[in-house]
Amino acid sequence: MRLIINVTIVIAIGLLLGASTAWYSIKRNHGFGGIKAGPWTAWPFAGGAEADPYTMAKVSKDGIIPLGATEGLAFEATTDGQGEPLNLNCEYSISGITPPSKLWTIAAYHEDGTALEPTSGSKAAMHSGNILRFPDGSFRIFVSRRPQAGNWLSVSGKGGFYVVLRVYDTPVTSTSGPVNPQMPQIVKQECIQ
Amino acid sequence: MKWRVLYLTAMGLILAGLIHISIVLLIPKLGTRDAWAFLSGRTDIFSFTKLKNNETGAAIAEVDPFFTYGVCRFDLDEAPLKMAGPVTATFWSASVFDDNGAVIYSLNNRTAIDNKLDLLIVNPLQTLELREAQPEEVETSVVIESQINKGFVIIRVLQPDDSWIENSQEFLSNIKCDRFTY
Repeated sequence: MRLIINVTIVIAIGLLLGASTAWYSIKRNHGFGGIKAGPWTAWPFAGGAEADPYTMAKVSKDGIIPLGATEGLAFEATTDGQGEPLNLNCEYSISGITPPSKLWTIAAYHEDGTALEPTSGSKAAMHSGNILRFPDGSFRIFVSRRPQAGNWLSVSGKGGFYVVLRVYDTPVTSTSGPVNPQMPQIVKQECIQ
Repeated sequence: MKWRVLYLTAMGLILAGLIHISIVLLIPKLGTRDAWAFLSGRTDIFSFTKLKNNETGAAIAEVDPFFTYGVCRFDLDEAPLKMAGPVTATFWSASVFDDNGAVIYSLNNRTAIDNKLDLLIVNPLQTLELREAQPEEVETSVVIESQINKGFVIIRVLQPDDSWIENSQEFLSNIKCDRFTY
């Protein structure tokens, strides 16, 4: 009897801890193998079949086609700069500069990875070629369901979401390795219930 | 009693470690949302397929809305893969994946030779054969040796707005994905 209880306890601890740590470590925006910069996390896919197993598991779980190192790097943010989850009830400003790159795009997604529907326009996304900038080259994008002056990343709907900033043809991945990339800040503005 | 608790916890932690490692390693094998299964079902080997944006958006997560995708599936058991594409003003990039979804090689239009897509993907045995046959193509193509026979090449072309559709579609239409004979 005592043996059965012992074995049950061991298996329970093992399953609970093992499964939860595994899941947490490949959750979006968490875990190992990623480059962190404020709320942004990137999972660089260095060439070669010896890619780190956490990156491989994450790519497979999310059902994405990752960018190769020479193509670019995708930074995901599921929270604002304060660490609070992004929610469509709130408006956000994304401002600053991006790592050096040939071009970049920023797009908003539902939590399951499908594209968000915009309120107006054709895409809930913007790219470096259609953006207004300050004289010093920095920019500010408003993520909102309501029309905004300046750069408006139009979103619609309810619930949580996340944004992905992709820098293409960037030296961040191809030269001395990704060290502290300069990323824009995400600041929560008004919330409408 | 105290020792029993400690002992059980220690055993539990060891088991947890094993389960953690096996889950992480097994996910790519079993796959929860397999982008590769979708691509295999959609495409033939050695033929270039343009992916429709609405289809990719549903089947593949986190698609960049400003890019159009094309895929070329290869099986080196049959023959080496020769891929070629025209010069274009639009930004494009390509990645070679093995069938586990790991990136073997990637390039973009700036890093490609003469800004042209020109790849030759071979397995180690074919590398030796190529070295003996020394066909002309080897001089101009980027030769990539793959340890794994089955895989994909994904091409992404920038399409910042609808006025670029013609340009990006023409580029994708002219990409060749053929068996290479030497």
